[in-house]
Amino acid sequence: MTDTTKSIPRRAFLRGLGTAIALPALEAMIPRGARADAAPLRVLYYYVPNGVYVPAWTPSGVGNAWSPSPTLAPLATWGLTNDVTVVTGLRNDPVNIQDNGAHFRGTAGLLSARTIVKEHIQNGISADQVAAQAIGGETIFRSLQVGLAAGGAGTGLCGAQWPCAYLTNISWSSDTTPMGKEISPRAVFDRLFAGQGQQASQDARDRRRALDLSVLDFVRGDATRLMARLGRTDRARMDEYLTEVRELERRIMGSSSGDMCDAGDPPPGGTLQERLEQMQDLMVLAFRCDLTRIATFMTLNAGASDYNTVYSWLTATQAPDGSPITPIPVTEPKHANSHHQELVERVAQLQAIATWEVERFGRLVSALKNTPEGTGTLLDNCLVVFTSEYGDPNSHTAIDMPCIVAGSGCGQLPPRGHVPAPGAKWSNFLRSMLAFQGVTVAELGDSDGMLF
Amino acid sequence: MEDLVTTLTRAALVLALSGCQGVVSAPPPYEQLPPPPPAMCDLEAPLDPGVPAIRRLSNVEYTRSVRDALGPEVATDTLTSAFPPDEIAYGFDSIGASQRITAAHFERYFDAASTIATEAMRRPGEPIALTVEVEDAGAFDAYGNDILRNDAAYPGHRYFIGNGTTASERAAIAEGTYEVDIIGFVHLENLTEGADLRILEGDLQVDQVAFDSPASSTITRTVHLIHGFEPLGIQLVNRASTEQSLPRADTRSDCVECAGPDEVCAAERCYSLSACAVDAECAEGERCLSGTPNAPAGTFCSLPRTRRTLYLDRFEVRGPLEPPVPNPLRERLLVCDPDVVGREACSREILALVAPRAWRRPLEGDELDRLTALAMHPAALDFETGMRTALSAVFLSPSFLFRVEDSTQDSLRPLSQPEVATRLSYLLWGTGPDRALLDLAERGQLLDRLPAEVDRMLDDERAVGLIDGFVGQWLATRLLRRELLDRDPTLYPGYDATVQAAMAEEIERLFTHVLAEDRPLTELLSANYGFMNDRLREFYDLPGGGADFERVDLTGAHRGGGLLMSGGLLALNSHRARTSIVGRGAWVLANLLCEPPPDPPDNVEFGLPDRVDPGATLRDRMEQHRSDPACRGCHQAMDNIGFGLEEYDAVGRFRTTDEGGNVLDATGELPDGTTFDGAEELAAALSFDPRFARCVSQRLLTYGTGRAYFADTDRCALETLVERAGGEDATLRSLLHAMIESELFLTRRGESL
Repeated sequence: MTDTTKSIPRRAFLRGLGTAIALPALEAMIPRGARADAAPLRVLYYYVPNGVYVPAWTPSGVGNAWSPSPTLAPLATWGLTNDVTVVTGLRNDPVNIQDNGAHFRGTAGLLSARTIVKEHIQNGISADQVAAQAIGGETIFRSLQVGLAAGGAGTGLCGAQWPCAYLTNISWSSDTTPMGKEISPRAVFDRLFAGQGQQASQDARDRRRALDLSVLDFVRGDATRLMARLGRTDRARMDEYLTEVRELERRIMGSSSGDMCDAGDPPPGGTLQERLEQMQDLMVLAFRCDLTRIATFMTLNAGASDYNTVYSWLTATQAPDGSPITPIPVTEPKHANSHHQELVERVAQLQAIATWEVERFGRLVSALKNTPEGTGTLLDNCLVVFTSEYGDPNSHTAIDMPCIVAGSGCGQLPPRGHVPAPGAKWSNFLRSMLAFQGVTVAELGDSDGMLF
Repeated sequence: MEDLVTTLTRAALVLALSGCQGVVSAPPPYEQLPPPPPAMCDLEAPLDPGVPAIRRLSNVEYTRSVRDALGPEVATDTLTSAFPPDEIAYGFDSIGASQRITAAHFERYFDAASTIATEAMRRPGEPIALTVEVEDAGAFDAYGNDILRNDAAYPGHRYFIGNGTTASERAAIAEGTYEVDIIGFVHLENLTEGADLRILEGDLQVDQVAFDSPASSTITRTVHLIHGFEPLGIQLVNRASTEQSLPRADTRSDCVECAGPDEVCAAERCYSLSACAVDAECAEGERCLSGTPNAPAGTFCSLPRTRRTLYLDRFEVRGPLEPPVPNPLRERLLVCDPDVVGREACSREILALVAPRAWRRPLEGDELDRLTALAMHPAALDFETGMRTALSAVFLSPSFLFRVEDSTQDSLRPLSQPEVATRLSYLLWGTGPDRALLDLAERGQLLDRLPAEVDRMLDDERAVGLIDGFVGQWLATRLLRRELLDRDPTLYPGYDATVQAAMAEEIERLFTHVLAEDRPLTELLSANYGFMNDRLREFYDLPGGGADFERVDLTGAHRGGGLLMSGGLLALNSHRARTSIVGRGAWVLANLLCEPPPDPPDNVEFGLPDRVDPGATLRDRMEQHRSDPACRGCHQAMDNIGFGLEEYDAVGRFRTTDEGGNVLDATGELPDGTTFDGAEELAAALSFDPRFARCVSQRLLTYGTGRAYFADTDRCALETLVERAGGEDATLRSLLHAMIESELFLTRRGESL
C-alpha cells in the first residue's frame, strides 16, 4: 500500500506527525543541573519598527510606585502594571552613526549591538542566537523567528544600496547569516505542528519517520565521505550541512515520544490585525508546549519598508504632551510619521500607532499571564522584551530606547516598575538577559558589564 | 619593496581617477585576496587561479539541474519559491564563499527533494494537488500591465485593483474535473457590492462566483477543465470604476504656476483646496478628508474614494478527480517493470541512470548499493515508497547540492575532466552537463576538444542560462524583469512593466548578438544598432517596424544601441521624478569600468529633493561636488559620465530639456582629458578605454569561477586574458574562450588541513 497524501506537503518532514505534538521529555534534553520540575525560562524579543515618541513614553515615578505614561497606558488597561519592568535611558551606541543607513544599523544591530558594514553583510551574532546556540538544543526548535512583513534572509539592496537583510532581520546566527523569518501564521503553525489534520495511522507515521531518518542518515554518509576530498574552508561549509542534518534529525526524533500538547486548529490568516493576534497566539502556544524557549517577533520591518501599511483603524487623539486634541485619522505609515519634526499632527499619529503597538503587546502578555503553568502562570517563566531600533525616530538615534520587560523570568527578575538607567548600555541589558538564561558570554557588542 | 610597488599601483589608480579610488569591498569570510600586482604586468606569466570556495547550487541552478537530471516533465515552477533568496556577493549569486547552508536552506531542500521524488513516482491515476501562492504568481490587466501589488499590511497576500487576473504558470495537467479552493478576502471602501470572481483556464471562463467576505475565507468550486495545460487563473471583475481619492484639483504638473491662496503644490501637482473640518462644510456628495502620502497635508473636501480590492492568499487546485492523470515523468524514469524484473533490480537500474546525472559524475564505490538499500528499506512497503525515499536522498545529497572539486592540495593542479565539464556547463548553461559533455569528460577527451565544445554549448539553446545568470545579474536585467521601477506616472506616461521587460530584452539581445556573431567586445558600448519590438520603438519615439523584436539600424537616430543608451540601465539609475547624474556615473564606473566609487564621507547630506526647482539645472546643483575638495575627486569622474547621459530622462527616453525645462548641456570631460558632447561620444570614448575589456573579463571570471576578481589586485590576470583574446581586437566570444581555456578556469589550488 502506498502511503500517498492528496496534497504536496509544505513541510514534508513533519508529515508523519499526528494531531498533537510530542513534548521533548527525553532525559537528554533536560538541561544539566535543572530539576525535572523546574519550569524553563522563555525569552521573546518583540520588536516594533521606527521608535516611539520618547516624551510620551517615559513614565513618571520610579520603581513600583510608577505610573504609566500616555504611550504605556494600555498596560494598565490590561492590568499589567505590576507585571512589567520598564527600563528607560538605554542606548545602543554601536548603531548611533548618522548616515543614510540609520534604520539598517539600528535594526540589524539591535540584538547584536554591533556596527554593521554596508558593502557586504557583516554584523555580529545576536543575543537571541547566542542563547539558541548555547541552550537551544533543549527544545525541538532551537529558536523561532517570526514577523508580519515579508523580507527574509536575502541580501538584495534596499534604500541607498544597503543590503535589505539589515532592515528585515534582528536575529543573526553569525556575523554574516541573518536567520530570516516566517511571516505567515499558517506557515509557522505548519512548522511547529505540521501533520495536523493528516489522517495517517500511527503505523504509517512511524514508517514515514523511519524513512525520513534513513534519508538523513544516507546524506550524512555522503557528506562525511566528501570531507576527505575537501580543504579546510570547504570543510567548514560541509560542517554547516552536517549540522543541519543533525538538527533536522533531532526535530524528527524529538517529535516521536512523550506527552502530547494540544495545538488546536491552524490559524486562518487574514488582515494585519488578525495575523498579529494569530502570531501572538502561536508564540504562546510554542512556549506553552515548550517547542522553543527563544523567539524573536518583528511586528513589521524597519524604515520606509512600511510605506504601504496604513493604520486606517486608528485615530490620533493626543497632542505631544498627552492633552486631548480634535481627533484626526491616522493616515500615514509609521515611518512617515516617525520623522515628525515635532509637528503636532505627525507626533499625534506616531503616538497613536505606538500606543496601539503597546496595547497589542499587552494582549500577548496578558495571554501568557492567563496560561497556567505549574503552580503559577506561563508569564512567570517568561521574559518578553518590547523594544525598537530607536528611541526618538526623528533624530534616528538609539538613545532612550523603549524597553519593556514583561514577566519575572522564573523569579530572577521580579517586576520592578520603572527603572531609569540614563545612559546605560543596551548591550549590558542584553547580557543580563543572557545571564538569566544561564548563558555567560565574554563579550557582546560594546558591552562592559551587566545591567541587572 | 612590496610596499613600494603597492604604493605605486595605488598611486597610478588614484591618478587615473583624479583622486577617486574605488574601495574593494571586504571579502566574505574564508576568502583570501591575492597580493596587489606590479605596475607593469608580465603578460607571459602563468596565472594563479587561487583557492575558490566550494559552490552550492543557486536557486536558479537548482531548478534547472533537477529538470535536466530527471526530464523536462518535472514541474519546477514553484520548486524553489520557498527557498531563502540567494546571497549576492560581488554582484552575483554564484560566489562560493557566500553560499551558506542554514536551517532554512536545509529544511527547504529536504521538502523540495521529497516533492520531486513524490511527483516522479506518482502512479497514473493519483490526483495531484497544486497550491498557487499568489506571491509567486503574476497578474496582468488587459494591457499586459502587472497590476498585482504587495501590501505590507497583508503579508503573504497580493492584491489587485481594477479588473485583473492572476494566473499560475502551471495548472491542470489534463482534461477533467477539478476542485479549486480560493483563499482570500475582499476589502470594500465606500462600496457595498462584493466582487465577482471568475476561474479561467487560459482565456476561457470556466466558472464565476460572487465573493464578498471581508475576512479571510475559502471558496471551493468544482470545475471541469477542458484543455489541461492551459494556465489557470483567477480574475476579479470590478463592477464599479475605481477612483483615486484626491482633493478637488486640476492636475497641472507645473507647480510654479499654482496660483491663489487656495492652490497648493504637492507631489508636483497643483491642488485647489477647500479647507474643511467636518463633512457638512463640503458640497453635496463630498466629504472632509485628510491628505494622503501623494497629496497635500491638511484636510479638504473631496469625493470619497471608492475601491474594491481583492486580496488573494493562494488558490489550490486538486485533480483531476476524473479521469485519471497520466504521469509522463514516471514513464520516462521507469525503464523497467518492477513486477517483471523484481523490485530491487528495477530500483537499482533506475537509480543507476538518475544519480550520475544528478551528481554530475559516475557513481563511485558502494554508492549504488547504498542507494538501492534505501529503496529497499523495510519501512518502505512498496516500490514507489522505496524509490521516493532513494530519490529524496539523491536530491538532498551534497553531491547534488554542491559542485564538488577536490580541494585538499595546496599546490596547483589541473581539474579533472568531470570537474571541468561541471564548471563549463554551469557557466554556459546554468545547469549540469548533458550526457554528451559527461561522456566526453569520462572518456578523457574534453580538454582536447575544448574550443569546439565551448562553441557547441554557446550555440545550444541552453546558453540562455548564461544570459539569465550572467547578463541578468551584471546588467541587471533580472531586476528589470522582476520589479517595475517606481516612476511618477504623470511625468512618464506609458512606462510600464511591458516596456521595462522589453528594455531588459533589448540588453540581453545585444549581448546575445555580439556573442553569437563574434562581434568586437566594444560593440557592447558603441553599437549603432539595437534590438527592439514595436512597443519599445514607440516608447523611444523611433520610426516603426515589425511587432516582434528585430535589429534596428540606429545610424543618425537620437540614440545609439550600446549599453550606455539602453533604456533599462538609464531608468534603473534614475529617481522617481528625475534622472540621477551621480547614480548613472557611479553605475558605469562600478559595472562597466569595475572601479566602484567609494562611499561618500560621513555627514554628507544625501539626495536632492525630488521636486525640481526650475531655473537651476541639475548640473548647477552638482556644482557643490566640484567646489568641495572632499567631494571633487570622485564626483568629477561620476558626474561627468552622468552629464553625458543627461539627454535621456528617468525612463530612458531622449529629451532636449531637463526636468526644469532648461536646455540640456550634455558635454563633459573624462579624467584623461577626453572631451565629449552627448552619450554617443561618451560611449565611443569609453569603448577605447582599456578598463572596459578588463572589466568584462573581471565580471565573467567572478561569475564563472565563483571567487572574486578585482580590477586592481587582479589587473595583470585581466590584462593577460584580454591580450590572449586579441587585445584591442578582442571579441566577446574570444574573451570567453580565453577565459575558459586559461589556467584560471582549468586549474585550481586547495588548502591542506
